[in-house]
Amino acid sequence: MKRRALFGLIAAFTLSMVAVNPCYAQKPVTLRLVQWKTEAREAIEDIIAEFHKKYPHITVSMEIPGQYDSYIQAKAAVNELPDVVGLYGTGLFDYAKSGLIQELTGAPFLSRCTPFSLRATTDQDGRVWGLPIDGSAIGVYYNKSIFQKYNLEVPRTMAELEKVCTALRKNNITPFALAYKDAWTIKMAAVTCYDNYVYGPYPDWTELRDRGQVTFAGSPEWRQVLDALRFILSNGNTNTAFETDYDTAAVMLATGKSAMLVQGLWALVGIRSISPEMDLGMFAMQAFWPDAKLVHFTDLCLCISADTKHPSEARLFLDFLTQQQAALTWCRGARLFSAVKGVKPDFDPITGDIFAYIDRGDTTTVHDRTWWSSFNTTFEKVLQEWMVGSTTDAEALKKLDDLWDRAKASGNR
Amino acid sequence: MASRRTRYSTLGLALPALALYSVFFVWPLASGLYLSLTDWNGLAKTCNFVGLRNFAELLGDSLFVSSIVVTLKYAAFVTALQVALGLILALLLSSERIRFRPFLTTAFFLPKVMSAAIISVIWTFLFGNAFRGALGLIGMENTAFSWLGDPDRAIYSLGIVEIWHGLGYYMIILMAGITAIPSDVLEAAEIDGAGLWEKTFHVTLPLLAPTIGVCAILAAANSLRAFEIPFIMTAGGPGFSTTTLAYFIYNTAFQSKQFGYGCAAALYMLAGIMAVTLAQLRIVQRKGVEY
Repeated sequence: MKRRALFGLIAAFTLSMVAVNPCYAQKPVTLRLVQWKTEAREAIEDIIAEFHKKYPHITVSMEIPGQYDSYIQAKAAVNELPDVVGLYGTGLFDYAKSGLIQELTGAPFLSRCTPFSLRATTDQDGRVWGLPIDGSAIGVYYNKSIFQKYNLEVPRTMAELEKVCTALRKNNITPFALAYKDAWTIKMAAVTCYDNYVYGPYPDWTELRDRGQVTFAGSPEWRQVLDALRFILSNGNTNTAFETDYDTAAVMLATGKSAMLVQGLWALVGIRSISPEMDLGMFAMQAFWPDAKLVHFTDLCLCISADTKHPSEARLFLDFLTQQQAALTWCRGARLFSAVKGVKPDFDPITGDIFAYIDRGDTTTVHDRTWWSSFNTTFEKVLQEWMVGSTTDAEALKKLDDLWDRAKASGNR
Repeated sequence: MASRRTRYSTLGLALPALALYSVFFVWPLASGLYLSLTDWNGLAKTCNFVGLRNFAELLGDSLFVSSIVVTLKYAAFVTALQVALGLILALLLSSERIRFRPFLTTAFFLPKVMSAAIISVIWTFLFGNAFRGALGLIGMENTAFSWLGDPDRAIYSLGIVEIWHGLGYYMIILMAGITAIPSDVLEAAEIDGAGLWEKTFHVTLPLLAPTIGVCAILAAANSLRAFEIPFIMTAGGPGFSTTTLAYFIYNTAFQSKQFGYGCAAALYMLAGIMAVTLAQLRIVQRKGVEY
């Protein structure tokens, strides 16, 4: 009798524990997360640890592979896309059109994101395919100490920019650090120009081009872009530009060998790792166009695989990432802006310069997200070919037109 | 009955190899052929049949045509120098007058066992900072030119890396060929008064012709497929000056998400390499020397 009572008591206790804490009854789940931001690894692992504390039955296993785009594509081809996958730009909509990621329209956690950031994951029909996580900016980094030392101001006109470059060269400082061995860095310089010159007066330039109403070759705005790029090239490490890679250019800025670098906010991590106390600022390219705005855009977006075996758990993870503390942790680690409303990370003094543009509304977004996929991958190579003198301005612009038409015919946006 | 059993046992023994061949060669080739007739983007679960459209469009694609020109330039440069330098080294290291032959043979062969990825990273550093720095030490930094940043020179710089990488392999093959030349033929030539040059040009080289031909075929086929070195060292740049055909295919299929189009380009590449190889085989067979 006593033994039966004891067993009964133990059974009741166990059942009550299960009722109180459902995790004891839930099967352990491992979510695979794949994204590319190595600089934010520690911050994301902290977030994952906090998530696991809240949901002990869910373990998030993160992977940051090299050759990210090829890796994800290969995984998609063999139906092994991770549960939660990082995507961006036009690639995100390629995956959406191919039925590889889940639609998230209406998910409650999306309401915590800013409308600006949600544009990056919302297609033309208003369907949302991913959770925007962070935002970045592209502009001209400049060494404030060097500028102060030589009494230089942030240039707002062409004459001022020429004066800055002349003064820097006189003091054996390379004005612009150029990393054109990596063709994608050419696009960064081009973005600051065409997002202002071309898409400033013509926000619907992509649609106009698709309808054949404008062309690269016939556009005086695109010629202005080439003139600006030509100026930057001739005022940098011109002789070694095509042998200098992205990391080396960051070192040039960080060590004071050059005073300016046109890049995105992601370069900050590398620069700070070399020169943590450097007085660094960022400005928009107003010298070429007085109304120039700082380029500001959503960077990483996390999407849920259409074939995931754990859709609820994946959504719980995305929901967790939109909590204020998690969003702040991510952005402090990645040194980027948050897509979550009300989260203003103070990860670096440079944010002061950038928030000044954002708060004034002096920002524009990247427009290559509307470009054809295959055009995007060859655009900077055409500019690189032009920069080394293999083509003239007219030939380069004509080539861009030909590539656009071929990309449009392929139908991959 | 015995011959039928022999046939079955022969088939049975060949089956594993046939299975591997089918899985790793026939099936990918058939898949590639099918995909080249579609507009598959590498991601979607379905695609449309487009017939020969990809093949027709490639012929008018300036990037495809330029990648073929780049590849042919690269292959001609690499093949000629790899075989020529391999031959010179083989002749030298086959001579007993050269000291430390085993050490030198190993040293020349060593690059071949290193991965192309590693040597690409090493040579990127050498062409960039190392050579410039070395010239700077003797005050000649201004004479440094751009090995990888000059669009006219970059493809040949990559060729130098490939030549260095594969030289030892062809040297070993040619050394084996030299060793196989009967000594009595050379002795007969000596008796007839032939000196070193006569023996080399009139005996050794003609008898070595088939081996030289094989080396040329292997070197050409290998260099026509160049990918790792341009991919790592220059990413096909500057511009498109080092975009080889293999790199164009990779870019088209994986970066531009035009998988069907890329497969069509790959089939053009297969046909081209087969044509070049067959042409070389015919030349080798015609030029063979018997003794």
